[in-house]
Amino acid sequence: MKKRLFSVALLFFLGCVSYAGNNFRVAAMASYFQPSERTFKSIYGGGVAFGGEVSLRLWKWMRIWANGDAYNKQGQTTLTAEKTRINIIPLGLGLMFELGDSRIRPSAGFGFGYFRYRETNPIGKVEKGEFGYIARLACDIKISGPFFFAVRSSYSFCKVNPAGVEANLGGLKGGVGLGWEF
Amino acid sequence: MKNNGTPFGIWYLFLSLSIASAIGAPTLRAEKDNTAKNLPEERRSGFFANPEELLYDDFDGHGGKQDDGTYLAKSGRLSTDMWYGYADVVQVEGHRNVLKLKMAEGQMDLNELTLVNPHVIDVSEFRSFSADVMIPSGSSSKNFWVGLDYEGGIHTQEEDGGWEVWIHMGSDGRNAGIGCGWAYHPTNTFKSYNLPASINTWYNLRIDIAIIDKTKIRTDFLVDGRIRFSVTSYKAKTLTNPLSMAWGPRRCIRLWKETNQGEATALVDNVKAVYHQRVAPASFSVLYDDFEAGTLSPGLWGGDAGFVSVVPPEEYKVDASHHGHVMKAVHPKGLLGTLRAELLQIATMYGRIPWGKVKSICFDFLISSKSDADVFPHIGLDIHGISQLNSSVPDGVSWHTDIEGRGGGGKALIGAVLKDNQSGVTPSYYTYSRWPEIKKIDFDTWNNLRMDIIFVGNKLHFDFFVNNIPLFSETPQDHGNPGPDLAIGSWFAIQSQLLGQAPSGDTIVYIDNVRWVRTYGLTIQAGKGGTTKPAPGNYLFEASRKVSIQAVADPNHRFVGWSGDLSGHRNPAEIIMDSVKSVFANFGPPYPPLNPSGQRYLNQSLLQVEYINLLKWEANPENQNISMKYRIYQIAGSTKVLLTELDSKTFEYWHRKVQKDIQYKYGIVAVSDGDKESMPAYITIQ
Repeated sequence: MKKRLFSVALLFFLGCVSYAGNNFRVAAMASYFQPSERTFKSIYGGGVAFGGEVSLRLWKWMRIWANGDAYNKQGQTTLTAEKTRINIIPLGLGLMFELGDSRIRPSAGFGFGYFRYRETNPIGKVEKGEFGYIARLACDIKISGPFFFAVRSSYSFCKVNPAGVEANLGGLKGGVGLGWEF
Repeated sequence: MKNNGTPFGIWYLFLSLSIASAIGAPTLRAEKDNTAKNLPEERRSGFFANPEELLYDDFDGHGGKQDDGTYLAKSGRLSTDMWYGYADVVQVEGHRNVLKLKMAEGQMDLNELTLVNPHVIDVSEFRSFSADVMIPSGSSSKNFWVGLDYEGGIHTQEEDGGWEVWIHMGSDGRNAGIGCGWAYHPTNTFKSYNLPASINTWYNLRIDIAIIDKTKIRTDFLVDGRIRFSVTSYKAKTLTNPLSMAWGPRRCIRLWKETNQGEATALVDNVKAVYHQRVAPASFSVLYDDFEAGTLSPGLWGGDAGFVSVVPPEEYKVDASHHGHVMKAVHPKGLLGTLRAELLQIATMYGRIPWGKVKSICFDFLISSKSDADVFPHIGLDIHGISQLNSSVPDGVSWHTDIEGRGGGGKALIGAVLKDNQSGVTPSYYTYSRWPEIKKIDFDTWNNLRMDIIFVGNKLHFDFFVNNIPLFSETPQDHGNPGPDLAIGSWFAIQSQLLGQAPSGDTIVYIDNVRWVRTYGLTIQAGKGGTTKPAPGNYLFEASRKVSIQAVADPNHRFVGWSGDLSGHRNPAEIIMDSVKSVFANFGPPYPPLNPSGQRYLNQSLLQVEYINLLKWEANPENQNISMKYRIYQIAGSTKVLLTELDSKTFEYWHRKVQKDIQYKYGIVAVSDGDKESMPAYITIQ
């Protein structure tokens, strides 16, 4: 279901892009990701993720957005304290609702995410992908001309169980970036 | 004869004549020995012998070493395993226990102690006979002597013929002298010498014999290690032929008092007899003779010459296809007494094989119809021994068991006898005697007679068979049972005995397939940390039997290997009983690690999880002096899989990626440098 919805949204987004080029925004982001699951926190903890985002207006205050970033972190196994490394690439797609068209434009959104992940350690190696959900609050602040300053916070949720243990790859993420509006 | 000018020299002439008379030389004459001019160099010390070959007694418990490491000699008393006769053992300063020979006022003649087994040691095997001798002051007898005698008799020569060599120390109560001499019948050669000596002084007296060739024996007489006299005898060929030895050679310690007046005392210590080329007790397991060689083997048979012979089948013409040459034994008309053909090799160095070492005796037996005696002797295979049981028995107990035939008046019988008589009681009586199930047989028919000896508890039990059919069985009671350790004494022989009435004719029997099976002792010992199956102890097994022994380690110990007459670490191991054997099962080190423990843990990353069995142990301090490592085995049923090998400083192991709900069993072993593993320390984790 999530996969189908995500596909529909992606097609819709691409259609929108080809339709208008109206009020298209693109931004480069640097975020700090704080996982919500305790095990995740204890093994890897939070970390910086770098990514990007695009959005365009669909109708008045409603925009469609897509983003992606990469979280790469090293930790220790719980008993043996051996080195373990995780790599998560969440790709998000959703709708956001933007208030006003002033210099400061706050928004809230919701969407689906496809979480591509890989973990490598002495126990083994897993590499898979899973769909999840993303809710976000954002604010674009115009700086000058087409440039704007982007502030983002999001909460994601993605339950996986690739090797007999269930985990949530989501969490809170907050970041800033620099965007360009067409 | 040397004369030192003292009255002792005269005395010694009488002494020597007395000795020669005692051995039965009919006419003796004293001669100066010509060979004395050619004495060997005095530095010569005779010869060197392997200590194992020593028949030695210091009366302090040393001497007569046995195959099992024990000693026949007893401390502070006379060992009945080594001596026949009686004397006190007393303590004297500087010599600890010594033998005290004493003859009281009113007594005279001989107080004699004989080293056991007069029959086996041939003259040619004899090398040396020595002892420390001292005459203490205080003897009131005016004419006595003490010393060493080596003597024998030769029946193939004239009746009562004999020979003797001796070295003595004599005393008239105040002075002392040392003399030696030799007498050989039938040539009546007799010679002697003497040297002055002192009262209250120890002297080492010694006789050495060396075989020069087949006809000459040289005898050296030594005092305190110096050769004083030497003589080369002739007729050695007769002496060294075992078939010619009717009795002896005997080795005696003697105290002789010429008159019944006064008291005589002498002390003796460190008696030593040395032999060469003796028949080792372990050199045979089964003696068998079917007489197909056509003659009596001189190495196997000895005794009364002429009593037995080997004859071809034409002589007896009975069942020749099965028997071929056989032994023929004839008890002649008119002869009262005993005739004997001995199995020479059955005796040990000391002439005694404990009852417990005899397993089975059997032979084929035929009474000839040509026997025309009105009274038949007992004739058969006979074991006769003399054992001194204990102090409650006043004298030596003579043991006798045989399975034999006899007859008379046209009857032929087979029976068995098991009896003992106390020879010190007059008249002798049998505490047990049995000829219970006499079996009538036909003349000129072969019958197989057999006696088996087994144990019932610690008592000997005898089974007698005729043609493999039980005749009777008996377990002698009380002191009538000698037990397994007492010895068969003087002979093991085909013997014919007739007492009381002279036979009117010859008794002729034929004997074949004489078979003697012995047992051998097996001593099993186990070291600390285990036991064996059979349990540690002393066992007797029939010769040639293959015995399986299993080492069983205690928990926390391991079987390291065998020592003694087994080696390696095969378990169970087999040993063939072809001699007296001793095996030792060794256990540990390495000893297994201590305090083994284990627990299952979860190890995980974010997306993956594993279970780990953590094993822990501690070093066993008993392994501290050996280089160690550890091996971890996973055990599943009867199989074990090596998981890892760890160094000696590692005391834990993580068995990773184990199943969450499965029980695991581990064995942790310590491994020594030689790759010997300890018993496992087990850990089970559920």
